[in-house]
Amino acid sequence: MLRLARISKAARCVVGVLALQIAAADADEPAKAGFFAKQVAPLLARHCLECHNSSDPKGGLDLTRAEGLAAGGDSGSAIVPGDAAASLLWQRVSSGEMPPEGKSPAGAQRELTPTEKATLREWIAAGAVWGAGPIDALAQSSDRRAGADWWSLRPIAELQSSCVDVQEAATNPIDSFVLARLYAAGLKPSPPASRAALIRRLAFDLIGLPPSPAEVEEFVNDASPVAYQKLVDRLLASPHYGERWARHWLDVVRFAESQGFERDRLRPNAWPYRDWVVQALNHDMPYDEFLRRQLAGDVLWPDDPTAVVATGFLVAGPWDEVGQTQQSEAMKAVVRQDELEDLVGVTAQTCLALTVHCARCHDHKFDPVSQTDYYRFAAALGGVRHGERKTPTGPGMPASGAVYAVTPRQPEATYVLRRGDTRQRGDVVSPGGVKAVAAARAEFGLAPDAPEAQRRVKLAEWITAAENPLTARVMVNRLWQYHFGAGLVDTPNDFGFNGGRPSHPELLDWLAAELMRNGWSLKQLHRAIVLSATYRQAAGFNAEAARVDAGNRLLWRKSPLRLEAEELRDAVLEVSGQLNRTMGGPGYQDFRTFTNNSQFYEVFDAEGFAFQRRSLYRTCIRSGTSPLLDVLDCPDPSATAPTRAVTTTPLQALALLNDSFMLRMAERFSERLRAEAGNDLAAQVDLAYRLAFARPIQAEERSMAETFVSQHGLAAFCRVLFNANEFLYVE
Amino acid sequence: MSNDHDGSKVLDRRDFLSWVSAGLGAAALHHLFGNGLLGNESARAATGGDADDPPPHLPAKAKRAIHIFLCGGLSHVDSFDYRPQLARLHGQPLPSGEKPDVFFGQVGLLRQPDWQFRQRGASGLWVSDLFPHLAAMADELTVIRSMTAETSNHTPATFQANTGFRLNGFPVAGSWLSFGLGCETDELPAYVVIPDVRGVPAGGSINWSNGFLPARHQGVTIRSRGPAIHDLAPARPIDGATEAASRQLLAVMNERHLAEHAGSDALLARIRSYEMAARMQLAVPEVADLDRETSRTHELYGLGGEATNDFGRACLLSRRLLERGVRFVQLFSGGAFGSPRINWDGHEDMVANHGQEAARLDRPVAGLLADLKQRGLLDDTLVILSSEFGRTPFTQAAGETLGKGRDHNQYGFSTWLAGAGLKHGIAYGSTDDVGLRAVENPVTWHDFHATILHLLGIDHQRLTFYHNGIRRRLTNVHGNVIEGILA
Repeated sequence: MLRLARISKAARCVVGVLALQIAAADADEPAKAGFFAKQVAPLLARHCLECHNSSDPKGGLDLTRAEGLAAGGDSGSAIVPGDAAASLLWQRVSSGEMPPEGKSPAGAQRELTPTEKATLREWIAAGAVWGAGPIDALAQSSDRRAGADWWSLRPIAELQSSCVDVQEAATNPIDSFVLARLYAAGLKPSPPASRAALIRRLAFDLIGLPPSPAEVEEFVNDASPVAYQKLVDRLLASPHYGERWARHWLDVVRFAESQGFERDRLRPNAWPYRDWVVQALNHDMPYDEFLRRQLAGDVLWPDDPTAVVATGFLVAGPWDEVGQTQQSEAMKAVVRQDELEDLVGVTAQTCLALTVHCARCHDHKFDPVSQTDYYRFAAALGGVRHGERKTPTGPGMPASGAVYAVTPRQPEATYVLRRGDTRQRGDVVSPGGVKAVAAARAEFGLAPDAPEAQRRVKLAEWITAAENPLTARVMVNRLWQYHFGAGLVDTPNDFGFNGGRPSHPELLDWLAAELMRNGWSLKQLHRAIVLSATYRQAAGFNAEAARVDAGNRLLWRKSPLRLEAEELRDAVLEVSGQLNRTMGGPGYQDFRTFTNNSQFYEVFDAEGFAFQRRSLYRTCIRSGTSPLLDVLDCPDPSATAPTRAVTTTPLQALALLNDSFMLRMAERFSERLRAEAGNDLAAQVDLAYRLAFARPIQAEERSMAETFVSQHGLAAFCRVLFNANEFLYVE
Repeated sequence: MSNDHDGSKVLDRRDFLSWVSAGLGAAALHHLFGNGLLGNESARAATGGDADDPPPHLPAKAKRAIHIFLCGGLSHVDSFDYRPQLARLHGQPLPSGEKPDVFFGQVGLLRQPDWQFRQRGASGLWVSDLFPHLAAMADELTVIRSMTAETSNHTPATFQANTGFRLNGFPVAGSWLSFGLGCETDELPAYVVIPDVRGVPAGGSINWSNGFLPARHQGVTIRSRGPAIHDLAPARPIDGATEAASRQLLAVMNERHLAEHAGSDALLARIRSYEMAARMQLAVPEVADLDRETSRTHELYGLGGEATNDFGRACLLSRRLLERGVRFVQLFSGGAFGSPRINWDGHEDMVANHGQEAARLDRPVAGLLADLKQRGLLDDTLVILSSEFGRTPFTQAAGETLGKGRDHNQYGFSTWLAGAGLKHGIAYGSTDDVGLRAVENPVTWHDFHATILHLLGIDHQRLTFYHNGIRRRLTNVHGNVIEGILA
């Protein structure tokens, strides 16, 4: 361990000035500056700047700029220009002490390579000449972090599908991208799925409900060459499409109808935002407008008194009411910063799959997001406050004449906070975007005290700018994930260094470009995807393919998917003939509330038609989630859920076997069978199979089913069907 | 009566009948087991966690843990942090003259402890008369007197005590342990929560949320009276023969379906989950049946006592769960905030509030420690008692006034641990003279969590889960194991 005497600050300054003079007097300066830029700066960026940066310099040493190098750190002067051996920097590096243990991500080597060490030594020996300006540690990607040249930040490539050389005439450009990778891996796609499997798959996928036996029958027997296209168009036009796909969006924005934290008070007027998402999707609102309205609809559509509803996005998350009402101003300030971190986090992840919130206390450790970027982003959202806004009453609007939405307030000046500490104010910042993303648009041109409304407008413009490569890529990846069970990038909220890499980068770009070419129409993108042969493949297992690609990343089959919690409950209602298809309006409340200072919710199995609406319409309470939905992996409504976990547990089995809702629906299902199939046992079990599995019962299943029903009754039989794997899984 | 502590899973006739009468369809399940339909695997097969860098990362001192969480804020200066100077300064302002930033903004005069402190046991550890029974177990305790929190707002502080973060949406320690270690048995959940019978804490199920971890790691609430687990038994009675035939039909249908989808692990796992569910249906009523314990044990935990019965039942149930392989049990002492006070939030009157709460908890927790000890379980079990923060040494009252209650104190407070891998009968760290701020060896929740994981064989930097751009940890990017309390 090296021990170095502390030098006085004055002495350090002398050394610093000396260093600069040497540098300035050097005749070879341009060559040396070039050497610095090409060889030394990348080396410093790679190994040193994660800690020795301007935002929070470890040991007081800032190696991003000439002045920092010259000033040295807490242990003294870092460099003696021209004398590597006498330079603390070199001593620490050559001894292997720096970079320190535990600072390298997996797979990246800690110590400098011999070549890098030689470069460093040579540079110091030659006078440690600095190049032009500070090193931008966020500019270039390396094996330990992403820079502004990271794959997801590059412009979307304009690819023609024809540039992919695939022998077979692919019916759809998507297929040519997929086949190219499959063939390269020596794999083949699976044969097409059966018609019966296909309609069950497509119905759950697009509208979240099973097809009726009549619909299955019609499709299976439709000889038209465009039978499938007709089915796709019919389902995309169904109002239930919006209900199904709104659920996905609400997962990401962590929508709930209560405050969370201690009081967890009900937000009785939050539901219009949920309905707005449903309707926007049903009307195929262009995705860029969809985002603009959620970020700044109240400002951009001033003549539309309902435009404020969409800003429910900004206040969808938890809110610490108690924290805001406490006495201490200092503590209130911390709560507000926590709130902004959450808001910046979810906004940037939802729209851009960028984890901007990680840069609250220091520059992002892995992605090109500076701490200044974070506070600029926070300044853009700095006026966002939770509350209720007056709206006209009328269809689709609360009778109370108010919706839970953004209630903007002109924010105070935003400062960079050193280490995120509210007591350590740095520079004032202007509202802005992340510099590494569509740089030209990320500069909003606003003053630090710009009006609140302009801030959100500029933010929305930057996010939806054509030159922002993330927005379209992120959304097409989300759609892909919900259709296939996994995204082309398997981390839909994170396209940064720690996120996944695209399995099919060209396909991702083609889809993103296609989305924008089609005026940001999501429905046209769905259509392209589900019409592909890739989507229409059978789900059958193939041991050989699985040996090469167990996770099916290359899409050699359509992965079977387990029904999501809401899908399962909705399907049980639908199959039992009990689904209440009422759309929109206040949700059903399957809980009793009581107030004991805080609000408490006691969830119970509520009976009656009013409670038999789709699960989307369950009033979603952060502290009062539904045990039945929870156990089936319904995500915690306080956290953004870009993907849902799929777990298999004994508690799920117990819920499906024993829950009062499940048992009651098994009864209703059996009553429906008697009503529709009469007293004929054979007809009853056949209809049961058609309803639950979208197929007729087979001969060898029949006798077993009939024997069971005659001994134990139809309701017991229906209970078994609801527990069957064939019911729970969609091929 | 079957043996109450050998982990026996054999139901005798009495249990069997009581279960059937409860509509649980035990006959059906026995039929299934009898048929071999549920396979012959060991009834206590462990289930692994999900961590991709699975523990143990280091030798585990403890195999399981129980966390007793006191909602509202236990006053350290009235319980485990003896500050003689505080008694001397009773009725005076803070010597420094400062007005610390506290939740309700009122800094009254200093108040001496309302309970007498005494040195206890061979160790001479200071514990007040607030907890006379626990005091008798002082030689088992490892008190940390220098805890610090980041907020004095109940719910964010509670979240932080349990998740490391002040916000909603992060997994609690129990979920992390379930994720990292799985369970020692497949008949019971890895992480069990027993709320106070008076109600759940503010934030409800958020307090045992899996956050972004898979849902199987959510805490499962088990009640110490009434049906133990939600949906354990059919909501309406089902005839035993029908239950058995239903399970059999389901098994055959699923096998048939599996044959057409060979190679699917997911389908196979689901079939197996029904077998595990059946085992759980047998195991849970057994574990929850406290009547199987001797009257001496009941007495030890304070069952039957007016104040102690509720928490005694919860503690006894916890021991039964732990000895049957549950990884982490979390007990809540205290429910909602507000009035009347049903937790430790003694703003108005410490004697009334803490007196009432301690009377419920003291004997049961002492009984639990004694019972774990006599069964040898304390050797590899970790017992944790904490609050979200402590209370102020001065009263919550206008300046120059001596009130009876105390406000929240995030700057310094006490927790204790007991059991595996610890130095016993010691106090670690220290607050200042009056107990306001941790001054010697301050401990953060991250340090606290790192230490608990360490004792359970987990390197807190290696138990991670990728979520939203970062490999998340219970300890965020902080945490140092408190070496000073390790044996």
